Amino acid sequence: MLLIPCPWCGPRPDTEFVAGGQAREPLHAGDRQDDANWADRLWGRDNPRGPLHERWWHVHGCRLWLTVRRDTRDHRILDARAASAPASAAPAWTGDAG
Amino acid sequence: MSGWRLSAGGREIDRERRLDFEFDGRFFQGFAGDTVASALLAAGLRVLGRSFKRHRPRGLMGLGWEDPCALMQLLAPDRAPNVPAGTLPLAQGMRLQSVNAWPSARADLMGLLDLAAPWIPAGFYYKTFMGPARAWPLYERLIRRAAGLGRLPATPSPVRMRKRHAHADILVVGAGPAGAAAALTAAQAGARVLWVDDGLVPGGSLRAQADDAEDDRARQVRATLQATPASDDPSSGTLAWVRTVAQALDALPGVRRLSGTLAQSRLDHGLVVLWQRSASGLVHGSPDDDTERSETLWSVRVPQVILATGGFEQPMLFPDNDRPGVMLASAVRGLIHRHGVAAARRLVVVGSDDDALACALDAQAAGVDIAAWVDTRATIHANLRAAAEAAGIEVLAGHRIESVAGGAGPLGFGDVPLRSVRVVPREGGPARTLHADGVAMAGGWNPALQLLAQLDGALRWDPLRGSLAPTALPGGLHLAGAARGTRDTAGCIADGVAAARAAVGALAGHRVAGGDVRHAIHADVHPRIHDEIEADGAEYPAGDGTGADPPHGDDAPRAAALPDDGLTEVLALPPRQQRHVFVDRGHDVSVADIALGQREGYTAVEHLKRYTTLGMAVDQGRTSQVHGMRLMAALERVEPAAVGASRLRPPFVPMPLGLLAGAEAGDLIRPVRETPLTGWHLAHGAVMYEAGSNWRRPGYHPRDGESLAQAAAREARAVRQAAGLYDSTPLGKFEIEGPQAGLLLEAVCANRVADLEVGRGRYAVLLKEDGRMLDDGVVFRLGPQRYLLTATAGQSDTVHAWLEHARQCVLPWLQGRAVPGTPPPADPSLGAASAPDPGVEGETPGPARAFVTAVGAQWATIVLCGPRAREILRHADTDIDLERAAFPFMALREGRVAGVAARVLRVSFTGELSFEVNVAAGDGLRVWQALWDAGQPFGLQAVGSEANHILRVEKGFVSMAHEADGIVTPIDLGLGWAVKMDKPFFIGQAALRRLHPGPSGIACVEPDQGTGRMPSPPKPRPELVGLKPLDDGGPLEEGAQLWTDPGVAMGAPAGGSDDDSTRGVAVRPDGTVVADAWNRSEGFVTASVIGAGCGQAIALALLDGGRYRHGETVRVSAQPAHSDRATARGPGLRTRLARVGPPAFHDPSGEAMRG
Repeated sequence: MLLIPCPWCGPRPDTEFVAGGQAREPLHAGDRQDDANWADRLWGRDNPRGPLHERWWHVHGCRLWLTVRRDTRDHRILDARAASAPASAAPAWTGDAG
Repeated sequence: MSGWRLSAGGREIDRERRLDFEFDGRFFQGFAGDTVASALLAAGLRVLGRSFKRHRPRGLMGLGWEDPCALMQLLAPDRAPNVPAGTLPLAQGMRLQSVNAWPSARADLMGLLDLAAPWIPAGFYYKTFMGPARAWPLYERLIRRAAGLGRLPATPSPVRMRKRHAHADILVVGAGPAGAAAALTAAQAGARVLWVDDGLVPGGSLRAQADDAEDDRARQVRATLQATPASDDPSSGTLAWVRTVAQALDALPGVRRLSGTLAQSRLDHGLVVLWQRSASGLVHGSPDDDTERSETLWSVRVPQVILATGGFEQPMLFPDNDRPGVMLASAVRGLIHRHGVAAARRLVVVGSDDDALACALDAQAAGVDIAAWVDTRATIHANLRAAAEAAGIEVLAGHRIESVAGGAGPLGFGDVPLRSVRVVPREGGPARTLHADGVAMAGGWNPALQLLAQLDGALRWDPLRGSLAPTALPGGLHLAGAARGTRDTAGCIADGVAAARAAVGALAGHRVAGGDVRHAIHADVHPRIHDEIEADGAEYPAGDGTGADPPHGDDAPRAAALPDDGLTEVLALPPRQQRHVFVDRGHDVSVADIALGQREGYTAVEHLKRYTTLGMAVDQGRTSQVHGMRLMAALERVEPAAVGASRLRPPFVPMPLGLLAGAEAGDLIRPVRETPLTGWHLAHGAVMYEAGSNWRRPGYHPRDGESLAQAAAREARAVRQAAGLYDSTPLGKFEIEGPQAGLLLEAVCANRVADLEVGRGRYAVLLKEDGRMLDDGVVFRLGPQRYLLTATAGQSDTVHAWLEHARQCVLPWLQGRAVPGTPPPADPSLGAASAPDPGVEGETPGPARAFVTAVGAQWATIVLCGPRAREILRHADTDIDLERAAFPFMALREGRVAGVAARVLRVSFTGELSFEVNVAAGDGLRVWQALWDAGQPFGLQAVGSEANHILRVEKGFVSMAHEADGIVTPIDLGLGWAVKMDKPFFIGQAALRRLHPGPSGIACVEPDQGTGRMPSPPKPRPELVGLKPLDDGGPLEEGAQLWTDPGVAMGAPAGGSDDDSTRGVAVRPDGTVVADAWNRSEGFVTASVIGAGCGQAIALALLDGGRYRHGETVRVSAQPAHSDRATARGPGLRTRLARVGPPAFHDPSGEAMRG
């Protein structure tokens, strides 16, 4: 039901996408954390009431992995970018303020 | 008879065209333009169905989707259960049945259930059928037979189910005066308008009213609309104007009008789902007008929605208010004006709303006697009273109905007319009996705001309007007309204009995802109208439609006082009578049920709904939700607003499930993937199996009555002794190409792959972040920057996503970038992984410079395996040098096989010499046939996945979902040699380090140098072992649990001691003591076969610490060991003993497959 703004293809229905869960930093070998922290990083996911960074794969489209910021309260999409874009870059798409 | 066809009138029927139809086995005639409801009432029928629970006789109550009573089982031409008769346009040859009645609605034997009403109140089934538990299936069957309404059709629908998509700027729902004004205004402003209406003809509530040509105010408002079509006759009524507007808009290219279409669901991001019903036939303004019977599910994205959906008239509460003959005033009027049908000879109109008078006057003009206008309000406006008295209608203000006589025969049998109505003054006084065969109820209107409340809107009780109203208007939504609480036609038109202007204005600044796609307003096309709209706005009395003004402001034409409908007085009635005051006729919920719910504490509106099922019937509470809420408020002595309104959910009305499926039904639900060889397999007697991802391939090829086991054993033996041919096309295949293809594969594979020589390959495992196996396959290097990766058929879609994720998300991060909000990794231990990108300097950061292309279906993959494989391939017209030295194991060669270009891989999943021949899918059958022919002299057989399973188990090769079950790591499976912990990074590496802490802080993939043993992690891991049963009782049961055998380990007799202190204590050969061995499963059998080479029962299993337990004996059982004595008394689960050993039963050194 969502209309996801793909930076390449434009707004496309969510049936073209696969949900990839929360956007996270990959776990790497340098993690020196206690078990609780490790388990949290491995299994835990944020469940905020508000904006959440999440990953969507445009599988039935351009196959771009997106990082989408969605407000969990009303499914409003605040911005979207290619997941490979540096965090410092401006989003490819910024949602309506209203 | 009660109802009859009037000699004149009925604007929607064509008296020249008679239609035959059948109801409950009897034949009737109606006119084109009738609904089933009007035709049946014209034929004099009263009882049209039986109620859900108490089987009370029910007649028509409303003419639209609010009717919970006259539900039809439609048998032909379409098939559908529970369709309100008033929404069903009559068609020639239509066949209908009443619901929930046996043998018929007039004489339903289950009608006796009504006598049991005192014993079957709300929630009776929670209390009555408590035990015995085993009797519940019987109770359930009886209840299900007795209750319920229509039956689901058992055969596929003859109607074509279609799905269509549309885009529009503004969706206008409703074709009454408000909707027409809105659609006209929006269209003239240049917006793309989608205008839908439930009715087959436009007009909305005007269709059910007398012509309003005398309504000067409405005419005046119309006259101010510059956009009114030139063809409009200013002296005509508003209904004619609406039709003129519809015709004019049908001619406009930017407007699509759908009649007979319901706006069902309003979903996220502007998605609205429409149901265009089969009866609507024509699609106006669409290029594919046709008369084919089809139902269409429209998915429409619209930024602006105008709800001109009108409202639902509310019934009145009095005993036996569900009798056939008691109906809504709007239904009485609709029958007269639309279909020329009078519902009764003599009518009592009862109301708390001025529509009661309009109904009385309309019915009187049609020739119906009006017994009286009974109104619960003590004071009635003098003008209205004068109008009634001028028409000779007696006005009984401040009265209520005390009882109703007739309407049902003895014990509920028969189709009996109403006889009389007893009315009493509410203040007390003598009762009067009014003879009448019909009662019209005018309990005021509740706006149809389902679409608003489905998503981001909410409703609450508005005491000023005496109905529900929105708490706030969601963005992009506008209300007009009765949906906004406006009651007069002039106000509705003005509302429509204002709502359209607000929507057009919002569009002008609207951005949709992807940027400003302002395709909406073409000011240059209609500059005059555009300017006009820009210029004014204050002329119209309606609100601005922006939501700042809840629709009960001072401008509401009739700011009503609290509804004075005597609702609370029914609470003073004795329970015996309350049981007959129906609130929800759809589920037989009476006032007594609501009172019971309140007494039992179900006072929250959602609890009330679920406990009493109020509002859960086919009509979804359109005529009951408000009464239920207000009754609960009265019982709780709070304001109705404090009770709140229960949540409304999509869809608006029930629709066929087949519509949601559309064409994706039957074989098309999930299309089967077939290989190019499927025809050959079927022709050769293959039993086809699902091979993952909905691929089909042969399971086995039974010959001459062979069983599965016999055929599989024969095929497996052929591979061990001669050769087999196996269709491996479903295997996932990916080509990864680019300067960073190797880097990408190094990140996803635990093995090292980037150092492969061109033309060579390696087994590879792909791990999830938790270190568990995602998939396994092989990687071959096709060129300096080009690789081939294979994946298990069932995992190939997952692997595809995984590869792209690694390419686009993981590698950019490795190269020093991070997901938003997290710092880039700064850990020096990442070593080379965080080294600078070896690519072009200064290049814009992005995904890894490699392409991942899924090529699985491009290739037909044919596996030729067995000791004779080389000879056979040599006879199959190949130019590839097949000698061992020229084409070693784990090498890839390109050349020709059977005359076509082929890519041949020397990989083996059977443990035998094996050539995997890949050719273009279109050449697959030709090459297969050539190999088949070449192999016949050598004993080649076609093998299926059953034989393949036997062979790989015997070889000890793991299989996804058998051994790699999502818990184990590759190290657990003995695949440590394919895990290179000294690589700088691979996905899952960090988790492996924690799961397998080795002596040097690196994962323990090598034996400890001191002891020669694999270092044990703190907690024993489930590890892959081989099992051989000690008996000759055939294969072990797959999935059976493994238990330490206390008897054997302790040297005590099997069965153990009865001394509880030592019971279950086991001592392993290495000296470890297992305290509670009897109660703790230590693993399970993952795969079990009769080996093709050894001919013995063998199995693979995951066993805790199994790596160190070779030689040990374990119990294999589906039950804890201590239950042995219990099962000894009778047939039970067998417990067997098996010897643990290495997971390899055939050619452990691998000479055969390397040969």
